[in-house]
Amino acid sequence: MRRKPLYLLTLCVMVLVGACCSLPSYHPSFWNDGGTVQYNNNCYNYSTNKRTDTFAQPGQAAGAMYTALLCPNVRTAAIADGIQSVAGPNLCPKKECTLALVVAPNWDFHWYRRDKNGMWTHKPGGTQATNLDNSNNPISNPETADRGAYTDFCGYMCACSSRKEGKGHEKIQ
Amino acid sequence: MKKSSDMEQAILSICGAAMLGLAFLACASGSAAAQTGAAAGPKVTVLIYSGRPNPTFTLSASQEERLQQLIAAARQDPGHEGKTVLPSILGYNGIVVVWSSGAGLRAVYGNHIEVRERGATRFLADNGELEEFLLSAATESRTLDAEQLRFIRTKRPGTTTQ
Repeated sequence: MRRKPLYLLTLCVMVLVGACCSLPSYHPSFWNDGGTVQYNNNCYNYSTNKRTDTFAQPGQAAGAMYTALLCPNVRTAAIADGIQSVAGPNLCPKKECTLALVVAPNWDFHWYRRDKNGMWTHKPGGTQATNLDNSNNPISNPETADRGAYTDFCGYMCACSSRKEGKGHEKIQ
Repeated sequence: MKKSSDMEQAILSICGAAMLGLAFLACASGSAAAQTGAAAGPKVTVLIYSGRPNPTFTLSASQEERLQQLIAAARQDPGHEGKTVLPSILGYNGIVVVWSSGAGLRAVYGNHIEVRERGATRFLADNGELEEFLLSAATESRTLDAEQLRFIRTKRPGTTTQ
């Protein structure tokens, strides 16, 4: 008889912990499997820390996908997915992960995420996740990192991530 | 008695209809699988985007044969052991060929080729013939447009970025 409340309490704690946002650390091996995970999850999956195996697109899950590959359009689409836009890199709620959105105008978009140690990491499309920019330098600031053709810096956003790789809490597709 | 026999008849009719339906579904999915199987050449993905879906196409039987010939003609390249040939950079990242039959994967970037089959990975090198062949096949199938091709050619290793 005494076991029932204890069981319910444990279950409740597990549900609450599972739903909590937390900051990710840089553990690229989850994404760099050279197979299903690597090739079917893109920069949006990696930055939100959510594995979908669909090469997720901003706005797709909300039925409001971007209509042009420009900063305002991709940002609006991500907001429809529940990602919050903020004015600076240090304005996300404490437990939420800061993301940075950049765009190669009319060509493509790209996302970075800031990990628990304060450094930025990313996953260029179907390639491996990395902590280096195009010049092979660690990324302390995505605004000044070598981003190749992704010349437009769109700003910062906040996502409910997870300390477990691939288990972020945002609804993306 | 009549009621019971009516009910039995109704049940039999429903069962019969369900079985017919199942048989039809089985035939339809079988023929669809046969069609898919016939067209299932290796899938080629050109890695040029980070966020957008990358362009993909399927190799024909003759193109697959040419691909195998080019791989057979390539030389051993132990310099990449333990690493992938695909660079994690923003821009052109190479080409991936995957067989749905589970025959493995080939990755190509510039002169470098990665062959993964039966749980083992080996690295080969050529003079860029395999990459050029796949880019030509992508252009022929209209998978890549002129702008995408120009982007790839200027970002390929050994070419000057403009």
